[in-house]
Amino acid sequence: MNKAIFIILILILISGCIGGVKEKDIEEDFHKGTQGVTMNFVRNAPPSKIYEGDYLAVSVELFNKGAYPDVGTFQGKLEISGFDIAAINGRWEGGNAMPADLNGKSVYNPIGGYGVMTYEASNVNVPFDADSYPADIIVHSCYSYKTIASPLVCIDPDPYEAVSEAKVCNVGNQMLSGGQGAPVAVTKIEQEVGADTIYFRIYIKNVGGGSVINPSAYDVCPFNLDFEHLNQVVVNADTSFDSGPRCTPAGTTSDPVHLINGEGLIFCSFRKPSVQSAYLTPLNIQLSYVYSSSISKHVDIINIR
Amino acid sequence: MRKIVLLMVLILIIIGCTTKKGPTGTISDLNIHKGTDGLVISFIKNSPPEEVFEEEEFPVYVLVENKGAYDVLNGYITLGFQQDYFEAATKSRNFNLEGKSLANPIGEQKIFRFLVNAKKIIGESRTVPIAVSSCYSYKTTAIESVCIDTDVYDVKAVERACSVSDVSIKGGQGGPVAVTKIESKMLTNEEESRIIPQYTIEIENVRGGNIIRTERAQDLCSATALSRDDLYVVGINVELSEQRLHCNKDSLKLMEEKDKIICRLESGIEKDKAAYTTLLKIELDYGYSETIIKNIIINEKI
Repeated sequence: MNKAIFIILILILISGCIGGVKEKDIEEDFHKGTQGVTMNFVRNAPPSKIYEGDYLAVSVELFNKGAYPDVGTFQGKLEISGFDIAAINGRWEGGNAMPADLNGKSVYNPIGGYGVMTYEASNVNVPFDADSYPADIIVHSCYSYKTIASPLVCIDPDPYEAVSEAKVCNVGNQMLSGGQGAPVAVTKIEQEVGADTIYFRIYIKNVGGGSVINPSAYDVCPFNLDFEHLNQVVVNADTSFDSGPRCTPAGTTSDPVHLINGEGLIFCSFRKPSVQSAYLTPLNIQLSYVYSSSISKHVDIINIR
Repeated sequence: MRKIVLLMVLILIIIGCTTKKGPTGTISDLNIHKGTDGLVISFIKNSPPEEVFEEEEFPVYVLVENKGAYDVLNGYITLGFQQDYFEAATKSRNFNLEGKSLANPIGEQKIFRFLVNAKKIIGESRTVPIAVSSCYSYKTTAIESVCIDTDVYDVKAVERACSVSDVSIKGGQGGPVAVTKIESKMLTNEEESRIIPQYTIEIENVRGGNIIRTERAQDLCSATALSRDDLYVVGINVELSEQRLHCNKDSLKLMEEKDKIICRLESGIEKDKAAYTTLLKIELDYGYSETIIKNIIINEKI
């Protein structure tokens, strides 16, 4: 009898441990993650060794692993460098613009946009009839991107009132981990409430491993970029009760947020809404920037006479 | 009988499955532009012999090997000896000899025979040298990968394929005169819209032979009077990405073991280009001569 009870208990335990089939939430949050557009070379394109006179193809797979744009037109381009045009002189098949439909992850496209671009050179050459020509081929990407973060913040008209009452939320700082589906992320929000103003300090970080560039510098990206364009983010922040906060820096292209060692912040003052009690509302933050990254591969052009 | 057949089948299978390592590397892995040898001459063993008798003829066999990477056209070897002791009907030979190539990675070789007659000596045996000299026009071609970096002050944000650095080259380029060092600099021009690549190139006589202007190579193997202007002269031509560079002198005088030349691409390279790797070609033209000597004992006939 004891044995039977023991077995039943074990069965209950086991069945409790085995999870049932879960339905995937169709409303999955795609604004998660720290990647934007990632690239990799298609296998053997380029090959590590190629012979003089051969056709060279440099094929790059593009994955938009971020959440921008959900709809609309994607703007990006690839550039190639690292070699002498006397050795490799080709062109991007169909131009160097990234596909306009390289949209980010969304309900309609949960894996994100995908594309392949190929740089082709029909007749590679070893200058001077030398034995070989070595080159580190670098493919650079430059694309316009946005981070959209809408954390819920507590709007409490009087957080320091003498008589405490039950509130739906409390004013405080909040950490935002895991990114917002883009290579530049909002990582922390600090909040303080004044007599007529609510202050937010918004922390921003480059989490994608590439370079963040002022949106106005898209045309000079990547070859003519200098440090005047680098590590700059344009920031727009608004709430339901104030669409035009005063921010320092202004967060515009001419007065952007500067990232130092990949991190920066913007301080914004919002007019206090005329409400009596605390409530939660999204703080809409939009970061605009050009993002650039690169991949490289060593190629030897061999000359067998 | 069946067992034997089965055993043989098994052995065949095992042999078939055993992987054999083939030669590693490929045809193109061979670098023929390596080494410090050009034309190398040597006596064949016992020829000339250690000892000969007076008034006897003996052969002198000379092995001539082109161990460099350049073909010798109209090269010369010449016998040298004291006429009091030896005489020969033919004292010099000319030849063509192909250098190393992928098709012939050891280079072409030839053996030449000279017949030498030992003259009558007065008194006891004598030790007398016989020399053989080679004289030939040769070329060294050094092609080195160099970096063109237009971002002289390191202010551009783009990833670079390479960075400018000096190159020390050991082991030669398949010739007895070699490029041993290349110092690279990227200079800015007055308008600052272009950068001027500048290379300081160090050249060395790595085998220690005699150098003469290439057109006068045969003079080192003849009785022609040598001009001081021709001695030690190495012609040089430097190109970067198939554009000729302007150098501070037209040729080098390798009176010392080493000398330097400074060359620039005056037209420059536009600054808006990203860093890239290209080839710098340095061609050296020269006449070269080396001598080997063997002492021979001439014995008196009894």
